[in-house]
Amino acid sequence: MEWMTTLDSPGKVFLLQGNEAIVRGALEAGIHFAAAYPGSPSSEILTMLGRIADKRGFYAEWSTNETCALEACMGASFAHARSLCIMKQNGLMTVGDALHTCGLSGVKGGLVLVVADDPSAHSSTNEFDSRNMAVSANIPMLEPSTIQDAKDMIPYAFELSEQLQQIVMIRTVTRINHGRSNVVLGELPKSLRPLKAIGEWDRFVGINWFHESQWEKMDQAGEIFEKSPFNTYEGPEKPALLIITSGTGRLYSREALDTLEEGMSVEVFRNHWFHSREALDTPEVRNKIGILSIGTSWPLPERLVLGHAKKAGKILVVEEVDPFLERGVAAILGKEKDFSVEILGKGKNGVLPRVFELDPDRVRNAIAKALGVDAKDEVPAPAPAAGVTARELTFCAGCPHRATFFIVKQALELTETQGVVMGDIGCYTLGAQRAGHYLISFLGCMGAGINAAEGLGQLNRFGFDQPVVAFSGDSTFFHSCLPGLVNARYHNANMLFVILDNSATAMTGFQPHPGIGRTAMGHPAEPVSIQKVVEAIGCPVTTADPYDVEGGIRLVYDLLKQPGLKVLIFQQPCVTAHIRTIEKTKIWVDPELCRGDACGCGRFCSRIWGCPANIWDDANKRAAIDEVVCAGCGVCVSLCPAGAIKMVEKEAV
Amino acid sequence: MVAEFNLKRDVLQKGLCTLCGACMDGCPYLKNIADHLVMPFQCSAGEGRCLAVCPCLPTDWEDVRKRFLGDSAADPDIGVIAGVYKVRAKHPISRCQNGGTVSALLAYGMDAGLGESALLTRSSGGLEPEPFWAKSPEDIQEAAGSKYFAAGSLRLLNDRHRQWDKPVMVVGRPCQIRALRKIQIHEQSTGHTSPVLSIGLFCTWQLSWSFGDFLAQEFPGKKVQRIAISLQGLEVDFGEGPQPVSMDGVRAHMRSACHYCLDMTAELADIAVGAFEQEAGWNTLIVRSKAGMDWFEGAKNRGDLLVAAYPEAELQRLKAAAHNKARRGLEKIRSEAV
Ligand SMILES: Cc1cc2nc3c(=O)[nH]c(=O)nc-3n(C[C@H](O)[C@H](O)[C@H](O)COP(=O)(O)OP(=O)(O)OC[C@H]3O[C@@H](n4cnc5c(N)ncnc54)[C@H](O)[C@@H]3O)c2cc1C
Ligand code: SF4
Ligand code: SF4
Ligand code: SF4
Ligand code: SF4
Ligand code: SF4
Repeated sequence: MEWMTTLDSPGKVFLLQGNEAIVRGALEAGIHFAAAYPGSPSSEILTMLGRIADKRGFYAEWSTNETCALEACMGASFAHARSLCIMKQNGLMTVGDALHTCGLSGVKGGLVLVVADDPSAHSSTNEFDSRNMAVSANIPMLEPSTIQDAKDMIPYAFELSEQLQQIVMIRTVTRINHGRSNVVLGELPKSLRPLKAIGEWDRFVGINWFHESQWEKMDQAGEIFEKSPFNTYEGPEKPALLIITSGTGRLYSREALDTLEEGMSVEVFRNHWFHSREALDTPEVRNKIGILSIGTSWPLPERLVLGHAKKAGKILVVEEVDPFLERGVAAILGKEKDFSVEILGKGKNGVLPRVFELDPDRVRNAIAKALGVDAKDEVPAPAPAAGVTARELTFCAGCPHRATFFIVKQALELTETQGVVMGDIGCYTLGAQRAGHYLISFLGCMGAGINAAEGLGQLNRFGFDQPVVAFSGDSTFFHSCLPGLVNARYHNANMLFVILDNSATAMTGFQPHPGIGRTAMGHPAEPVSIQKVVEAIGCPVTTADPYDVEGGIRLVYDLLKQPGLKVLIFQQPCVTAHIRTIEKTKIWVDPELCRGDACGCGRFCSRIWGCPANIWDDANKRAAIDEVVCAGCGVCVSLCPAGAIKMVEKEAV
Repeated sequence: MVAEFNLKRDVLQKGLCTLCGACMDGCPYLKNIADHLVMPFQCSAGEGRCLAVCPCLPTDWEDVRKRFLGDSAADPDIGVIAGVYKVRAKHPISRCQNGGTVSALLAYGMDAGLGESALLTRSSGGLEPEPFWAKSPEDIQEAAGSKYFAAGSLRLLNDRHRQWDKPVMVVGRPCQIRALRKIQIHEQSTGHTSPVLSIGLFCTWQLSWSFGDFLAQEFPGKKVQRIAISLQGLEVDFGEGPQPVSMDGVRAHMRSACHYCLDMTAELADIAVGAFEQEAGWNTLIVRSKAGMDWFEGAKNRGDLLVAAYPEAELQRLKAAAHNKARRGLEKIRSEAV
């Protein structure tokens, strides 16, 4: 439904995905500049912005990392451009310094930072709650609780940013980014506002001199938020239970009320939870409960919160991940003389779990507990759909990473020592699982692998002689491995740095990076050669094709025997990204030659190599190829000990 | 019989693998580079070929002797003796280790059609040996001389493209000859047949490839031409004449498996050949089987070999040496209860 984002029909209603709504909001706000680093659940935003940037006359880029993105936005803001920066929660952690200094300096043109959190870490290594960073950086922060909010908050945040001369952060969560709902479109500006020249005495400096004025901006924001349309209350004048909520908590709470009220079956409940927006109508439970939904999460509108709290019998705070709002509410109420009310929320003994994302079931149980009523049917664990067997995540058919892990696993075994493999963030993080033969034993944030390996690589003076391998993908290499590589090279760490160059940021959906040669806006660009960069740093570098498994094993083995820093670049394009561009090779198994379960094979292709296209034909007790899935990489052909897997070259599709 | 064994646990991880090569290449689970043989992935076949052929797992010596060497009684120290001689090639080829007897037997065998090809081990400079099928006198010349680095030539028997109908000759260390016999028995049971004549080399130990790193450290910048064992111990020739290497250095790099080895004189080969220690340029040769005797007689009668009676004192010394090796091996096995 991406086309709707550019439609000039104010007042019309469309079903939009949260990320589409954010894009639409950016257009309505008249942004000049957008920069992001990909990361689920935020990636679609800049992808879409990139596609329409030329048409709408703004600029969009996939920056090399989040710090590049934020600081680029700061630069653009200096010339009074409206700049939108997008990242996921992990990215926010890496921009800490930039964000804090930006908070001190303030901004000129509006600067809005959208941070998409991933509660339950569906596509992340963690579920950090980025709201804490807004507190630390001392900047205003908003939280949309609906898809409509997600759109509307973007222009609102830009206005606020320019009014306060401060960066404004918007925190979303996966269910907002990837959820869908009806959205009423707003107006698109006829043209973008002109920029302003930077004058001789204009300053954009983040130093402590401005600390007090930063606080004054926060005071001002607090005042504005007392009357913000994004803070709403629905319910009786004096609720027995006041639910204070932000983000998805608002809809979950409403849904929970509906079902508690009607004793609705869990199934029906699940199926309609997110989209339903029926009014709070009926008796009993309903007229005991009020919902105060907070869209301006930081600084909190203290008077608003206090006013509602004073009329409530009890308070339940419903929010995603950390008890952020809960602590804020407690701090506000705690300052009030001679006032006390019970606050329920997250925690070890709380009514809501302190980890993983919320869902209506959990909220429903929490409300029931808070009211001391029966939750009717206790929520059962979701049953797997019949006929679907649980499957572990694995690399795609033909994925060069499978071959790379297969190679490194065997090369390390061949050294007859216990090698240590440091992972990094990307598809290849799967290397910590069965798909990568459980090779990875260290995993931190982006760029951590090479640095940790550098540390281990200095321990030979203590007799530490285990081979150390660090992995990095190509996008991760540019994102955060460069300083680490310089460090490892300068201190000649004993380690092998393996760069998996599959020419794509595949995990998050193939966004271009500096090695690709195409920008977010689809323009050609001169690619940055990883090999040349590594060479220029002064590292001995070898390149190899991971599809040549035997050659690869030998090479890695030889490199592991050499002292000092070695860099190996495995080059092979990601099949999923490139499959449409190559002629498909037909692969098949000769059942006469296949040894199947017998000695000399034991289903090596399907059981050990594990490409999803190498399947086992149980009826014939022979291996087979799933032609639909097979990418034609040919690696299994070279691995079959019986020469049973055959390849017909270049059959046109 | 072999079901309770597991190659990875009972051989590889215990340091018992002699790198004979018998299990290699036929199977995707066994991976080899240099002298490392590992099993990175778990095999599911259970009672497989590797267990049947590995010389480090229980072998029925009696059965092998009966099948291949006939009914003659075996000497407790040096095995079945159909004849023992002091021998050398009439015209020893260059770079041969002692008397060139092995190479002469191979050359004769090829001419006489006893073996269409021979499974030999070559290397440049005595380091990093490489097995190959010799098919001509030039190939035999290329393989001349002993390689003291562990080498798994039997792997070439497992080449899936190999025809199993042509007669072949195989030269190997005692552990390899034992593995060869087990392969022959296994192949018979799987329907393959192939006439095989074997020459076993006397052997007391072989070296790990790490010995190369040791030499590079001890003699920096020098390139090994030839390694030999003499009465003085191990000598390395860097092209400036033989230089002795400290026995401590050698011992530190002996392949672990050799400490458990009980066979010095290749007791299961058709013909066993070693150095004749009292006189350089000569070999000790023990004929063990009927096929071995025909081969030896043929070469001798064609005038390819010079043959002399074997001195009794020397025979006693040989038996004592073999006895000592077996005793040390047994002690090692008992002390570690492998
Ligand atoms: C590791 C090792 C240890 C030995 N230890 C002793 C010992 O302690 N006492 C003793 O009397 N003799 C020992 N020998 C045997 C001796 O070194 C000579 O190989 C033997 O005397 C034959 O001499 P030749 O001149 O006839 O050999 P050549 O005519 O030179 O022919 C040697 C043949 O041996 C083959 N060969 C060489 N190296 C290997 C190897 N590593 N594995 C399999 N085949 C190989 C070659 O392919 C070649 O065809 C040992 C040999 C080896 C390889
Ligand atoms: S690896 Fe080859 S022999 Fe083994 S099951 Fe697969 S196709 Fe058959
Ligand atoms: S060729 Fe083999 S390894 Fe490659 S995708 Fe097809 S089945 Fe998988
Ligand atoms: S049992 Fe067969 S398949 Fe398994 S390791 Fe041994 S030879 Fe290979
Ligand atoms: S001794 Fe031979 S058969 Fe046994 S594991 Fe070693 S190479 Fe394989
Ligand atoms: S000593 Fe025994 S185990 Fe070692 S190489 Fe010689 S015959 Fe094989």
